[in-house]
Amino acid sequence: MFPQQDRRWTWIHRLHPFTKMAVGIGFSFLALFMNNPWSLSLIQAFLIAVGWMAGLRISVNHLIAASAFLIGFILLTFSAGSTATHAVVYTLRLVVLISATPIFAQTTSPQDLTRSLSSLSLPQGVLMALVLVWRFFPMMRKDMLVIRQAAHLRGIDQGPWMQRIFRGTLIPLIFCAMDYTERLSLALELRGFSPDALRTSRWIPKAQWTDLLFSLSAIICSVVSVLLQWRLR
Amino acid sequence: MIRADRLSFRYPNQSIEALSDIHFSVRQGEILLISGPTGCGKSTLAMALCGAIPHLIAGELSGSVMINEISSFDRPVHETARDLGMLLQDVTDQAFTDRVSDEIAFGLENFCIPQDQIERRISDALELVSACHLQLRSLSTLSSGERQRIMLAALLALDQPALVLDEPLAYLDTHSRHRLLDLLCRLAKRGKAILVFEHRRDIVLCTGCSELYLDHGRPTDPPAPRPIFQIHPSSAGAPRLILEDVTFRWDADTPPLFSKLSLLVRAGESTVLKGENGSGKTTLLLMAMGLIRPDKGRILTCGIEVNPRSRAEVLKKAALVLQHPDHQLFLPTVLEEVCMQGIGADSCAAELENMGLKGLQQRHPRSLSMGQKRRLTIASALAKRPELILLDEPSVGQDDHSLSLILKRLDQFVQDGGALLVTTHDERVSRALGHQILQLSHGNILIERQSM
Repeated sequence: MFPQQDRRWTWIHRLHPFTKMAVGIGFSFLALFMNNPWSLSLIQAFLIAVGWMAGLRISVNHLIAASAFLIGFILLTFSAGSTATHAVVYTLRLVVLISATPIFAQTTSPQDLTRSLSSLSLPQGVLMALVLVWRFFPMMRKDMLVIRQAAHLRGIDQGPWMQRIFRGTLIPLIFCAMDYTERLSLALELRGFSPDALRTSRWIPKAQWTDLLFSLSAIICSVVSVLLQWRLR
Repeated sequence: MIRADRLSFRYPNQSIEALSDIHFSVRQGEILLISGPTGCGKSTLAMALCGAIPHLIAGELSGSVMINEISSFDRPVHETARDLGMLLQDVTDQAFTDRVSDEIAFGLENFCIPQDQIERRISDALELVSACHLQLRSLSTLSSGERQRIMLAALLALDQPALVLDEPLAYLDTHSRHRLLDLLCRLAKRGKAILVFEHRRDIVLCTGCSELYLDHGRPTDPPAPRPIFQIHPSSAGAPRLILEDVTFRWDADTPPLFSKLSLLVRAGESTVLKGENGSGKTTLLLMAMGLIRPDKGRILTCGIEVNPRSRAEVLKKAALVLQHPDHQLFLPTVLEEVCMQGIGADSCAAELENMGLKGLQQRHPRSLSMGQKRRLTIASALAKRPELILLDEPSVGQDDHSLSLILKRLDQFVQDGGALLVTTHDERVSRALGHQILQLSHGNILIERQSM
């Protein structure tokens, strides 16, 4: 049973992390072997639907940037000697590969993932390393946004691009990362964590009927994709 | 419960001891305030108490620290943590999870608390810090003050017999501060030994606790209280910041942060903006500089309508000093940080001297203490010679002397026709600076005091 959570959490968030991992990995593998645009489109449509139900939204600016990137990728593939169909297939495959993991990662908290993994009796040190790595990148992203704001306020982003990147972002970010690591390792010990010690868990995620429903939908989607691939070959 | 005996410590390659012959003890049910000016060795002492010195930080150490009759030098930090809970000064990077309830559960899980007790302990801890309403929130959406309360709840949930709090009042609003001090008194009555590191002595001493005053790492007698510099009244001039009917919400699911909010800051005027944690003070400053766009309404900064195209123009005339100085220091020396604003070397040196940073010109900004870094960012902003300065919590980490230096320079800025908008929870700042004191509450501004 899940404890009470943020009201913005959807049933996708509450799925067992292993269910999401299995579906994400399964779809990525399927995408590698498929070369039918309709099959790949179906998988991508499933992923978009999952993201939509999970409340994940993409801003107009990001949508425009992503579309421009994908059109560029199609043109580049086409100019490299592929047919138009192949160019579309490569692009769709890329889209499935790069969207499956983030959609499932965005809807799974690191704590839930480690609680699931702890049921496999993995060492606590490894699980904690996973949590810290998982948290490191969003933290650095947040820091980078503040640093860029500060650089803008100080006028550091007005000079040559080398100065903008190195002085304005990279160097402060490296210092922040070092400070963050130091503070975090101390805070970890102060909160009583030891990699060799036993820990309890607030709760262990358990598979529920929604996991079954979600897995069945993903299997149906995969089977239809495979049929489309086979019948339209 | 906590006892330090002839404790001395010297950092590697330093000639002066950071701590020298420290001796004190805190019994169950007692609160001890450790105060002193910035850089007096408070943080070093905190590190020695929790065992980070000598286990994680190297140096020349002598004397002893006993926590619950066991030396913290002889057992690892995570074992000392079973008897001594410590709240670090900077609460921004201490979280390991992304949800409030999980964050409180983290320590309980480390302490092997049985699963059926964890939920109750989480609720009790949140109730103690009056933060039950935050239980379902994501940590990334909390303000600094709210986050501090959650980290304190995470500490209290562990129920250690001794507590060490490093600058616990730094980001708290007045109500939260009173609640915290009241809570500390209640915890002491329940038998906890509490050590509070805080340079704002007057606030903590109200609890009737005893005090150890440090200066240059040595216990000394506390100085007589000095009045904080009081800013002089001046005549208000042209408007420098106008917010008209500004409405803003973070996302569609949340209530509006500002609802038809209006504000006016004039030249030659200092305005203090107060408000509870999470009321949107920092957001308002970022909006004034064009870094966040309001959903509705109009903002004029130094006569320029703020929009993405005019941001560069706004930056030439206005300056914003953010809360965390670490994000705002980019150059290899203190002098360069100030000189990059294009004023002459003499003016730069004068700005540094005004902020008590004379003699530190060639130091790397990252090597300064937190209070010094904050003064450096203010000096850099002033060196821009702006018409409007926006300061976000300038007094955090400043002792009375350092704060007086800042206020004196800001007074000069206002007397020269500058406009000043400061967000703060610090009564010292609002008393000294507030020509106009405004309270941000429920998305709107209430005038608390206007002395024109």
